[in-house]
Amino acid sequence: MSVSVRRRAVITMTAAASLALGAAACSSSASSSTSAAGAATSATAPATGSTGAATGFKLAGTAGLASDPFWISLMCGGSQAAAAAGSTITWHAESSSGTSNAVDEQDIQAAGLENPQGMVLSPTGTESYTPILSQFNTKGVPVEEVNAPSTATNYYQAVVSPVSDPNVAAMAKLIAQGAGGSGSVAVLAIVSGVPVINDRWEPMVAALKKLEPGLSILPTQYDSADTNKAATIVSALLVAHPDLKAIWTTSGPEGEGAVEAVKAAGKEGKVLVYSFDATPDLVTALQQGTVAALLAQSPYLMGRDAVQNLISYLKTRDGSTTTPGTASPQQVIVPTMILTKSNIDSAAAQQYEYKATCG
Amino acid sequence: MNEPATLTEPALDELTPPPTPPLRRLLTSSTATYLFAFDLLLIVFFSAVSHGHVFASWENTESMLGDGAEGLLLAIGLTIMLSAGIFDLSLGANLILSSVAGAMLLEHLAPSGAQSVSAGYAVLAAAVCIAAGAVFGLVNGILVAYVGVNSLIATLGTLGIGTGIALVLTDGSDISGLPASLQTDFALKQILRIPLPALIALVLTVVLWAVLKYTRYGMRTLAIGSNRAAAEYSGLRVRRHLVTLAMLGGALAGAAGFIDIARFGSTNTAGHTLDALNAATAVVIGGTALMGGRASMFGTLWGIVLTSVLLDGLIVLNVQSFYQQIATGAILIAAVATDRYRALRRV
Repeated sequence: MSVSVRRRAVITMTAAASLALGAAACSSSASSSTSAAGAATSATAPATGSTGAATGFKLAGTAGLASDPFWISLMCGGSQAAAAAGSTITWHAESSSGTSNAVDEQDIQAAGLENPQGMVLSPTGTESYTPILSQFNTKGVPVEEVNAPSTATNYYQAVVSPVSDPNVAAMAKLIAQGAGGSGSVAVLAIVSGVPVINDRWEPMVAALKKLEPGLSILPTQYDSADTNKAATIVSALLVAHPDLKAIWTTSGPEGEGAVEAVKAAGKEGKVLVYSFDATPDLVTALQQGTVAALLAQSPYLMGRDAVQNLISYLKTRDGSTTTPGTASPQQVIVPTMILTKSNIDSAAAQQYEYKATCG
Repeated sequence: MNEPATLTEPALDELTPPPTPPLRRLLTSSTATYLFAFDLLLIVFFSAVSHGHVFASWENTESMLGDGAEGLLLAIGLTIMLSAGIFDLSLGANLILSSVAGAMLLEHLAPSGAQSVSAGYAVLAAAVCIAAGAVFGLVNGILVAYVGVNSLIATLGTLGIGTGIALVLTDGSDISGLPASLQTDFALKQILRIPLPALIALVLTVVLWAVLKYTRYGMRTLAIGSNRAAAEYSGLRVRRHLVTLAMLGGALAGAAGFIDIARFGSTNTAGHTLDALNAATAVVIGGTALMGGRASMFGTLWGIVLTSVLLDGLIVLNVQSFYQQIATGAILIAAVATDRYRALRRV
């Protein structure tokens, strides 16, 4: 299934370094933003006075990298939604990078230990977590999935970006127009072999080939999230392909490296850089005009919708004996948005920028 | 005839091997020279094979110089540390932390969104980066010299600590939007068509080469690396010397950190994970001994040239990304293996 999950799978050179960070983080795995209104479960009035739900709910959630603006925005959306409904949510996220099933499971179990009434799960690994989810379901704890569409039936609901995103074709059109219909397009990604990262460029390449066969799409290069390596790669590509017109990058470091290399070669305005993601540095580059357009998800809206829907479900089913997750999970699609210099300051765009701090 | 019987022994001239031809002597004299020749060979190859010979263009050379500056600074720092037996794994983390320190200062000095910053402030930021790097090096030096932790382990530890502190300071993400004038007036500036950061790195390479070869400090460094006990017995203040070396290496990493933020206008806390390994590759290929006691600054330079030329050349030749890794590994092995053969056959 095509997934538009935003995650940096950085190759860390020393496992010991991540262990050290992870050990420190495991002891403070709730380091990421918990709602400031955490203690105020009974103090604040609930949004609606429904059956027995006079107090807010206690929720728990897992996320990816606690230091990454994408996840920070997601947790922020979730925490603010919880606070608005008089509930609390405690997040468990990783502090060292890398996606893995083991890491996800640790977070899920840590969240489970808190005996939450509802769970928000943002898997970064490839597992379906069915056995774990069954445990939650038998306890009557519904699980809301965010950011990764899944075929597992144990989720109550999945809040995701579009699987087949019409904005990919729209962005491809922008790129093709910018290139004037001919020339080469370079693709720069973080690492190979990780489905969530492949989903950031493979659909784009397919769309470009279909839309504008006159464009020559160069084989994808990988930079391991290092801006220096990205710049080196793009410099070489600029030398090798004088007809290079556009560069599609999958995240911030690739975009920044590409911008620097284009400037160093004196080809600003002749070679345009486009990127997935709307990290703070990419947004700055967009505002400065060094990046032409961004294709952004809205982790903030995804987090917000996930928590809101979960709370609504908990309120309505309170007192009933329905076991969650017995039907196929509904999918709530949160659309992506193409950010350009002209719309970056609009109110809509604010929800699509990945923020480094909440609030 | 009354001639005395002569023993039929060959003339002395025929016993000694013939003098080596000067070219072969030059090529086999040292790893550095050999590596330089190997690099030339690669450059000629890539230039010949690349479409339109674009590899040989000055634009390409400029790019390689600009992109290689940071790596060279880290590698020469590692060379001088390795001369005394200090192996530093924390170079990448040092670069990141120093760049974060400089970036935080710039955020403070330049109003948000400012596109330019005064030269004075830029110099101040550079000084802060270098100072932060030196402090990082100081910590490494104390751990290695006074606490007595093996340098590999100590720097492995400071790698994690340094990266963690950088993430704490930046609240987990990167500091971006730094003034663009740093890029236009420093990182992308050229002198005689050589990018300024590369020029600085090359000048420092020559300086450090001279230090190692001609100064007492350099001699003592090699002595410590060669035989630490003997160096101590002969009265050298070994521990203090090791600390100064670590600070020097750290300062160079700090300088690389400033170049990094100047080039990209942002820190890169998720990157630089392979920096120390890449530096070590270039240093070892260049002929510096991992155990210490023997160093070649120019060998390191040609080693960095090798890795840069390889990466750039393979991309220019459109070699697919996965084959690039195979080719890089194979050529690195070839470079070192033929060098070993040369060293064994040296006459």
